[in-house]
Amino acid sequence: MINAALNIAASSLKAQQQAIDVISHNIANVNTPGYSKQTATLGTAVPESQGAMHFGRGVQLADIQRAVDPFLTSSLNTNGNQLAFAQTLEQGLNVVESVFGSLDAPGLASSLDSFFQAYQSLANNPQDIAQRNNVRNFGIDIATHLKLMRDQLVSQQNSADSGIDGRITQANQLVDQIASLNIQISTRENTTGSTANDLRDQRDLAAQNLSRLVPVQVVNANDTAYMIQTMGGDLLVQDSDVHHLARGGSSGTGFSGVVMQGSTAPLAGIDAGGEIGGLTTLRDNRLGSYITQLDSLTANLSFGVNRLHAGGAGLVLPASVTSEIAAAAPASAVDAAGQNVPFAGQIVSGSFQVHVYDAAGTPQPAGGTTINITAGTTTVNQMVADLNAVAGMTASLDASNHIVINAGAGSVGFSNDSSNVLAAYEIGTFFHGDNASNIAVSAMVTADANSIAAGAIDSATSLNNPGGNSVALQIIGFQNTATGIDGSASASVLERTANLSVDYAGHVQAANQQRVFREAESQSLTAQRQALAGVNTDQELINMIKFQRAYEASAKIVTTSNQMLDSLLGLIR
Amino acid sequence: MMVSMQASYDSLLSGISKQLDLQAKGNSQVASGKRFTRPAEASLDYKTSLDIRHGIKGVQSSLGAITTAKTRLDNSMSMINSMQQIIVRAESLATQQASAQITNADRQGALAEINALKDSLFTYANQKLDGQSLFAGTATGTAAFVKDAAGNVSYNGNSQDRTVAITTTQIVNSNVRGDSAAFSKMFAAFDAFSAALAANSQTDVQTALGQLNDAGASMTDLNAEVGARIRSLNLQQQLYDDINLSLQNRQSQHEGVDIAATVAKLQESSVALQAAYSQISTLRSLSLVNFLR
Repeated sequence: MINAALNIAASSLKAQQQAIDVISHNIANVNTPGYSKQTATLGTAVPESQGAMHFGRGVQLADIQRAVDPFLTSSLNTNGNQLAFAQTLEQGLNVVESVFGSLDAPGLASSLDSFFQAYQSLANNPQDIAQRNNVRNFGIDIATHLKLMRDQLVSQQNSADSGIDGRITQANQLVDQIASLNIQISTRENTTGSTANDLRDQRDLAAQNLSRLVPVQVVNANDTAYMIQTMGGDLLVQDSDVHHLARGGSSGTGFSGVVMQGSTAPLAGIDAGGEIGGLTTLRDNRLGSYITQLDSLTANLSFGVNRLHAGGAGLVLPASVTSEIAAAAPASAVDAAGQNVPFAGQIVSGSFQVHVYDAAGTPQPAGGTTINITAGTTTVNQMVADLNAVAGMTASLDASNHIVINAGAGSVGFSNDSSNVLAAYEIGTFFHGDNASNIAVSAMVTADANSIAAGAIDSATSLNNPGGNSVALQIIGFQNTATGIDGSASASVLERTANLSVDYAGHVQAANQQRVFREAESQSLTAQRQALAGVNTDQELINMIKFQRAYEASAKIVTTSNQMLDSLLGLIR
Repeated sequence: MMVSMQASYDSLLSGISKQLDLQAKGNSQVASGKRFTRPAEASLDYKTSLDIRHGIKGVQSSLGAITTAKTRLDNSMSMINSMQQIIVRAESLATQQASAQITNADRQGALAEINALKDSLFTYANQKLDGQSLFAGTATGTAAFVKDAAGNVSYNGNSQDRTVAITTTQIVNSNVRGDSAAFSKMFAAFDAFSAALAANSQTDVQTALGQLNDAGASMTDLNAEVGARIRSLNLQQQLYDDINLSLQNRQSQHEGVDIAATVAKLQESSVALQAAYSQISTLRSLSLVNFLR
């Protein structure tokens, strides 16, 4: 019977030691991400029956359980997904903040104001070369500003796109890791019959990290089957079966999308959450939208000003003029789509006047010559031929099909263009280009600020009055004129500029609010998880004392039993 | 719910992070003197700021334009005043020369003075400001009046007015054109007076006197009209000065930060921050590990 007591004490020593091992493991992993507190569950050993009596046979470690709440785990995954989305979006938007300027640093709105202000000063002093230089400089400033803004946005867009590549690599590594853990968990649990707590923690953490990258749903049908799929239902991992993400297809914005490897169909719902979703949204719906708005603003500014400018005249009329846009198909109509003329669609049936002057500056003849344009009919060749027929000048196409008009020793000017053909082909325009990437002040204005149009040639007398400011007045009026030249909703250039800043600011604020909300949610869920599964060192130490005392008591039983045996053996001696 | 030490630290860290954000924002506001400077800080307020600043720039442009127009009209009026004085002198001479007692020699002597006055009128009528003809319309590069071989003066400018844009929709004329009736009457009266003196015709001198009186009256009317335009510009200048002041005030109210309130918030945040730091130190000592010896 004394042996039985010794055996029972021995089982206790072993069980208490194992429980302290579990506590030690908990304390060791107090700061391990994803670790769930484990609890040693002790149970009585199988009793022994002696006659009518049942004698207990000590204690044994029945199980080691981890503290886990599947609903909480799922909520943390969802929260991590949305938090990562908001953080990625907010960070990406913050990076481009400088693009939109601030009240302390001049932005696009300020540049536009300055440009139109300079044109207003020119309208009031059309002969003043200083005002002309001012207009040219602010025109260059706007073009530079627009280009810089676009370059920065495109650069950030490319950065977001390459960021998606990195996240896909991470996601695929996590998917591989989860599949590997599935195998290990299955093997260990099948072998030992007990739960592989640490491996399950690692798998939950990997799934949580995967959720931070891409929106997924974890399907854990029972304790053995484990499957992760995208929100669109594409399988990523099932037990040891792995499907990788890849780049492919098209996102519709010129960038390749995210697909399942081997497929070209874009993943549904990929932009709904996670870092990949955040980067995709940033790239396509935010930066892409700003670039589109910027290009639209540029198109409206460029053509809007050019249309007015081309009908005016500078202080000094040039001897020759070359269009800054080349015709791709001279035999086709001036407004044909195949001409590759950005604003060909703006050409309408109408006419313009060309005024030729001799070397003394006398109009030849007074009143100029009218060139008629019929949209869809008049070809570039025809227009050039009509111009070439005007006395005192020649017109031709150069090797790259630019229209070249030459008045020899005299000079040439234009007026009353109701067809928009001069602006479309950039003859006598202020700006060159049709979007923020190629906008510039025209070569003619860059070379000589005197060619900036403030007034217009008198259509009846062909006189170019230096004090005239009719075109300048129209141009300063243009800043408040709503246009939709590129098919966008009608708005003035100033409204477009303000809307761009407001759009951006709204997006940042929304992302910020979303991030703050998700962070608060994350803190709450993390606190709940900490309460449930976090290691509390105080509690562990108290438990340790409890098991330590039990261990000591069991050891005392061993000592007592030993003394009892000694006493028994002493009777024999 | 059991609160683990980790949760306590997380909670304190989150609070510290929020307080540091408040400190950074407050410091930025105090340093800049503005409630916000970036669009991301206040989207619609930022747009309002852009609108106010656009308005201020526009008003400043308007004030510049008014100054330009006033300068031109002031110079024009000065020339018209000078021409009026010459007409008055010519009227005086004509009154004298209309007398029957005036001899031919007297009239030829007066003719010399009239021709000199006529030259002065021609000079005043061709006056330039910043190298641009005042009275030639928009043909500012050419002389407003030219004289033919016979000494006849004719208008050489065009019929377009020099305008100044006060706003994109408010355009005002900033010039007096030489083809107005006052100028033609003036030169015609002087031509008639010269011819009458050369012909020693008392009757023609009396007729010329009438023409001079008429030209003088027209020039006075013109002068009054210019004066009225300048007066109107002065009123507009006053109006735009007021608008400018109002917009500057609005900008200050809209963008300016309440320094006292911000400093109070900073102080409040500073106390919270210090308390959080102190609590971290306290938490550090609140562990069973420290009591198990």
